[in-house]
Amino acid sequence: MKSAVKSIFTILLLCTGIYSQITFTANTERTTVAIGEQAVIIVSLVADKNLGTIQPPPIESNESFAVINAVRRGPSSSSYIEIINGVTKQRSEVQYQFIYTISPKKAGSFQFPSLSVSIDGTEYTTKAIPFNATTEVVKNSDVKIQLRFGKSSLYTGEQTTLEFRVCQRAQAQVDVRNGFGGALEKIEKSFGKDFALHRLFTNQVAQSQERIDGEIYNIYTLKFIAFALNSGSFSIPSVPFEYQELRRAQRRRVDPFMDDFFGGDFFGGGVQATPRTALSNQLSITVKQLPPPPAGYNGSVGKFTLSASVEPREVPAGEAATIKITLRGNTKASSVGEITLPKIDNCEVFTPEKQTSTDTTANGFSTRKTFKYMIIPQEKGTLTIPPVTLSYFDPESGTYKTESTAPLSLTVTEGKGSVKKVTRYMSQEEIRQIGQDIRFIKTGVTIKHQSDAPYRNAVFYLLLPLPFVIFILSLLYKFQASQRQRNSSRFTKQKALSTALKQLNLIKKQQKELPQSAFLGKTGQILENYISDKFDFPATGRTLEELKDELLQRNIDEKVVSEMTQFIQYLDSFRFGGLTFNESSRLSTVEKAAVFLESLERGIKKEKQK
Amino acid sequence: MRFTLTVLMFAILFSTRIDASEAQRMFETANDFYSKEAYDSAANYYEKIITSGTINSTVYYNLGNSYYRLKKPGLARLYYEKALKLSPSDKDIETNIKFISANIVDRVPEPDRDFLETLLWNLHILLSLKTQLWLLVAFLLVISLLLSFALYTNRNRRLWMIYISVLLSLVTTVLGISAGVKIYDLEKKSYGIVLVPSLDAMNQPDGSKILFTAHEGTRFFIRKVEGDWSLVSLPNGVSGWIRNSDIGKI
Repeated sequence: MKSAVKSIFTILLLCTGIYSQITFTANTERTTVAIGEQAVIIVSLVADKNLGTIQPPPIESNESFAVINAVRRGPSSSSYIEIINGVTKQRSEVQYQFIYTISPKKAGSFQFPSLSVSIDGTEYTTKAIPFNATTEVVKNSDVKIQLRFGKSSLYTGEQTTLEFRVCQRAQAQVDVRNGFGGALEKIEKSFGKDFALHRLFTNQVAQSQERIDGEIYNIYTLKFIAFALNSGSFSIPSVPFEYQELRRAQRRRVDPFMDDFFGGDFFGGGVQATPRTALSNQLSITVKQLPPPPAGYNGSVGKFTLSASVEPREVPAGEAATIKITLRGNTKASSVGEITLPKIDNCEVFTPEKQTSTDTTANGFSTRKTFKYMIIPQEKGTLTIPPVTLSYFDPESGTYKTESTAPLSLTVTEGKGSVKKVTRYMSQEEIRQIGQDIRFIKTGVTIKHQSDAPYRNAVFYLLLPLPFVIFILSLLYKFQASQRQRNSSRFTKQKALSTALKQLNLIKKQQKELPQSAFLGKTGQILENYISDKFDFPATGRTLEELKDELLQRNIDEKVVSEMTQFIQYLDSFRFGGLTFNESSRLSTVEKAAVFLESLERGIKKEKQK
Repeated sequence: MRFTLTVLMFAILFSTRIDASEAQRMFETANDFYSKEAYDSAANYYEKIITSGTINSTVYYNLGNSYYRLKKPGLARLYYEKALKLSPSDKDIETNIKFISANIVDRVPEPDRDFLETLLWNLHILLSLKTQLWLLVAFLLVISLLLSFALYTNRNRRLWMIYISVLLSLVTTVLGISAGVKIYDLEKKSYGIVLVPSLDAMNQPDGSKILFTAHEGTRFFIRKVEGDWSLVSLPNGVSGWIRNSDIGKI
């Protein structure tokens, strides 16, 4: 049993080895292609194992066709299980695709050559594909292109409609949406410089449905207004329109089991878009020259109407009224001529105010021009405004016609102020510029070199920082000055005791020479100077009470303040009390003063430490 | 060494003086030719002044007039624009540019300015860049002196000095912004004038697709220069590549 199983397994393995193969094929969807169209050739290489990177077999353009591009896709791998007569087999495939796009250069037959690849020393070759290149695009009933011109015969300057219609058979598997951009350019190119085309309803592609030859078509229409610019017979060539034919991508493997489920639409499948070109019909248009124009014709072609009114109908002499003339025509604004108001006697006429508006309809342009003349009648009576006329060419009848307004009458009543006599009136005229020219050259000028980049001047670069430098220096100086002042105050405070003691020593030495009052005065002065320096307030000139309060406010110990008061009172008793000093009293006074100052200093330090 | 330097300095000064007087003489000669309607010779002399290194708005302006009379609107506009760059508030230059713009083939509408924009623009071009820069330095100097004095003076005077400084600072800021915009324009923006009767702007350098056709005298904004080609734009946003040899850079 075991040996039988082994044998079957070996046979199965061998079978798998025998089945392993490589296929190399080339296919295309159509073999008839118009010149300029593109054909796609798909070359497939299917193997049962990954063959690594394989470059597309090279192919060069030749005199019959041009190679637009060659693209490699894949490799893509797939595996599936087959159960045949109860035997299960797993197979895998690796597929490489090379897609060549070619375009025929000339009409006639040509071949897409066979391609070869060498795999593991074996050469695989595709079959050559025969093509037929035609001069005309193969007609496809799914898409029809129509070029419709409003008139086959028209006059120079006349407007007519032009429609570019793309008729797509309903349900047809084509996509025409992306072709309009390219078509617009081609339409304008086809009509050349002999026609001026104006797109109607820009950015719109009109959509409708029509029955053509018994079938329903979706119609996409681009609308234009065409103006014939030159006379002659014109043949408008076919306008190509590019669209895409949509086809469901063919699966590479035909498997009766798998395709039922996976090959259908169950997973959507792929859609392949193939570029196609459809040509429109050609047009023959005759543009006739206008017959010799009558006098006063100003170039208007079309159908025109003219109307005039005056407001108010009654006006005092010397006051203004407005004549409004409206000209309507079925053409564009630049093709509507100007009108001229005839001369009106005894009336001042001002330059008209003009307004132009153009409407676009499905039949073409419609323009309205309004001229508003302000007039000032000068005399009492009835003022008659003569008819305004316009000469135009009517293409319908092929003749020149004249459109006129009815004469208008304006009742002019007596004006304010003096009544005008019947004299020849000299109307004022506005001075108008009738010519223009450039201004004269400049003379008498001293020619100096002007730098076109004055900011690159070195002087400017040197001067620009100067203001900032000045300000910074001022700030520094100010800072230093205040610093100096602050330092001197601190120095004076620190040295107050030593200065006072030095001065006391000096008095001590001079006590014999000094009179009593001077001695006492100087001692008191030393004391006051010390207080001023130490506490940074002027002690001189203050009463004893004020001095006491000031020191107490600065948190000096009450005992010290009291000692100071007693000492000053002691000094005052000698100064103002009439008591006399002997030498020993003087010395003891100086020593007392020194002791007092030292105790005061200690008191201040203690206070600071607190 | 010092002697050599001194001699060199004198030589430079002396030669400059000769150039200035020579330029003046050529200018008078050119004006004479222009008055006698010998526009070709006049243009020749004005060109000589420019090639000698003297840049002057009046010379550019007169040269523009000569080229206009010689029916070369492209060159005429080029030199008017160069003159305007040096003297932005000169009404004669402005008028001639307007006149020539109205008489060239292409009508390129300039963007409309409202009242405020017009006012700001007129203030911007009121003074030449050189004047603005000197005013800027002078104002900054005055402000720094006022503030420096304010440090040392009494409270009442100090306040006045600060008020005046703030006022001057505002004026200086406006002047500085305007000068900055002008310097940016000079350094970063570049314009050109079509000098040939007609040129085709292509989709790329050496491109095959014509994007638009412009005619002599039309002014472009040059966005980029690549080799012999420049990418240019019109005020309405239309852009294309044109040959450098067909345009004159302002």
